[in-house]
Amino acid sequence: MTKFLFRRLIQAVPTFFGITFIVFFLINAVPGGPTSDLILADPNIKAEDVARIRASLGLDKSVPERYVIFLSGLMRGDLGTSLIQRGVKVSEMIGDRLPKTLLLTGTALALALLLAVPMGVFSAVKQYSKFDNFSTILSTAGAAIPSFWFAILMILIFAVELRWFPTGGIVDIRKSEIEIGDVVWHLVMPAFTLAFLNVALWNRYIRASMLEVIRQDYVRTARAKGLHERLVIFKHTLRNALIPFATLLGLSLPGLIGGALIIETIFSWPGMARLAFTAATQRDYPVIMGVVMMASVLTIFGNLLADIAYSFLDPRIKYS
Amino acid sequence: MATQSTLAAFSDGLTDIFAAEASKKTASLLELAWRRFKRDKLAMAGAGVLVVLTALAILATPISDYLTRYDPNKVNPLFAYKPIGWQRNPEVPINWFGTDDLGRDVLTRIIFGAQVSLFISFLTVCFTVSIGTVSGALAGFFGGWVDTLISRFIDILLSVPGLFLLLLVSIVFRPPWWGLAFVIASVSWMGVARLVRGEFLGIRARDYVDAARVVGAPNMRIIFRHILPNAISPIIVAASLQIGGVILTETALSFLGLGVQPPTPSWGNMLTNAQRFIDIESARGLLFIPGTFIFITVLAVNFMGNGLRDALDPRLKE
Repeated sequence: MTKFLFRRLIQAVPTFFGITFIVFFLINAVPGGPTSDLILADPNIKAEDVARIRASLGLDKSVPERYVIFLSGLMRGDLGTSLIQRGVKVSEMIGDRLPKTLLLTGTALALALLLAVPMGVFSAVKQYSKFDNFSTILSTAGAAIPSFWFAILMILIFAVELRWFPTGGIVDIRKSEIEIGDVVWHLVMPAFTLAFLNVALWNRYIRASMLEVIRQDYVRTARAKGLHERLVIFKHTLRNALIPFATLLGLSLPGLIGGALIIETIFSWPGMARLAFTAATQRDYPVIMGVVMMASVLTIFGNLLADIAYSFLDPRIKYS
Repeated sequence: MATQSTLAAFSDGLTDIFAAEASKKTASLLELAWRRFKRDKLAMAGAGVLVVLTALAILATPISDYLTRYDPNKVNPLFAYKPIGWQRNPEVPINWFGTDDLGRDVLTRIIFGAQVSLFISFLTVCFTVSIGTVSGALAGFFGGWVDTLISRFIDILLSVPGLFLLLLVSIVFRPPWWGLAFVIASVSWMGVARLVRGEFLGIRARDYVDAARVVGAPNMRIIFRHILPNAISPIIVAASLQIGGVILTETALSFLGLGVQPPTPSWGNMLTNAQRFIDIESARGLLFIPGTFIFITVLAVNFMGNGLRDALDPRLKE
């Protein structure tokens, strides 16, 4: 197991460097850059001043040179400093935003699992029942609804009309100190919105995989030897049905993190998405690199977790 | 050398005869698929909705000239935020879906938005399938280092959350609205590529591929004449199931202000300001109408895609 994990970690390294390579050359592929706004702001700016600023930002070097500098910084765990907010470290900026994004996506993930697994199990056990039909309709609708529109409708219903939850933000700005209850209250709507879209997808998947397992011989055997139905469903069936689901879970992580981008924008959640957004518009290269790195590391890490869960759920799989 | 070319010519003649036979058979297979598809009421309904929407999109200009009688970009701030079915006075045409924040006719903009959104989605799927098929075919057919290179590249792209990549590409390149199709395709071809690679790996080991090779058919001919036609139905199914996701991506990008740029209407950018006028009672239509159109379109596409899958590849049926 340890050996397998180690090998997977080693395999992730070239992938990681591949990402840095592609992203770095992509954002530098187009002329212009952080200094192009300077000319817009002051048309009379002297060319030598622009050149001086570019040199001070290290932008006078060629792209491959800059890539090597970036990599050597990365080796030392240094992501560089922002080109726009001078002197602010990228790692600090990400360190400020990442916990908020993780709070949102983590809560959404937990919520989605808590809803999707029981729904899928119940749909499978009571196939073609009213509940099953209802969850089929819900899933079909959930797969077709645009997330940003769903979020706006949620705001309209629960924030504007019913006034149960705030329309956005992470804390009430009128309050002087941060209270946990306040954060939770602000978290409910964005987390639920993000979760809903995955529930729609996952509960179908769990239902299908439950139905597959439930027809297996060993489930019949378990029933025949007189085991309690609950034990048959939750121990013999669900455990095996969750095995392929672990892979799907790992694969849907990029979608979850990407989805957070839209949800964060609509609910003005101060996470990484907004950082990425402003950084990309301002061509703040180090920040863009940092955010994309972070999002990719989360994805790679998520896939690794899915692999571990895989072997944990299925004792037949032994990694050696 | 001479013998080889005679052999190749002979084999080509044979293949043509076989192809003629096969095309007869394909027609009947298609007929079978069509019969299965026709039985699927949801799929037929979805196809019907799409036909109507496509007709609206194609005829957008004549419709706005003769039926709605509004210009999609004619601004009239005096009559902004008017409710559904509003009419200024009996002499002017009715604003069936009301007016938006700049007093433009929402129905006309929806129709032109259909044109933009559907065209981009169609183009995106074409690009996605082309890139995915070519790279998947190369990887699956040649194997070895070609396969390693392409598969690694796919792994790398799949490890970056798609929307982050899209955000990057669309901000850096600021594509015009027709270029958006290429941008979306550039981050969504990997699924098709993996699928095609798998199909190719399975088919290239078949006897008839060996036979084609023995008679000296060039690689390109084997790929396009012998293997690809046998892998075409999963590709069609995957493509049709992807359209819905593409529409959602395009509208989301336009909503975020990174896709179709105003004043060109798109269903996504019509919702961009929706949050700002969420408090205006008479403007509720602005909130509901574009979203409903996206929702219904994606639903229709998904139903049709499911129907196509069941019809073309009955093995995959749930």
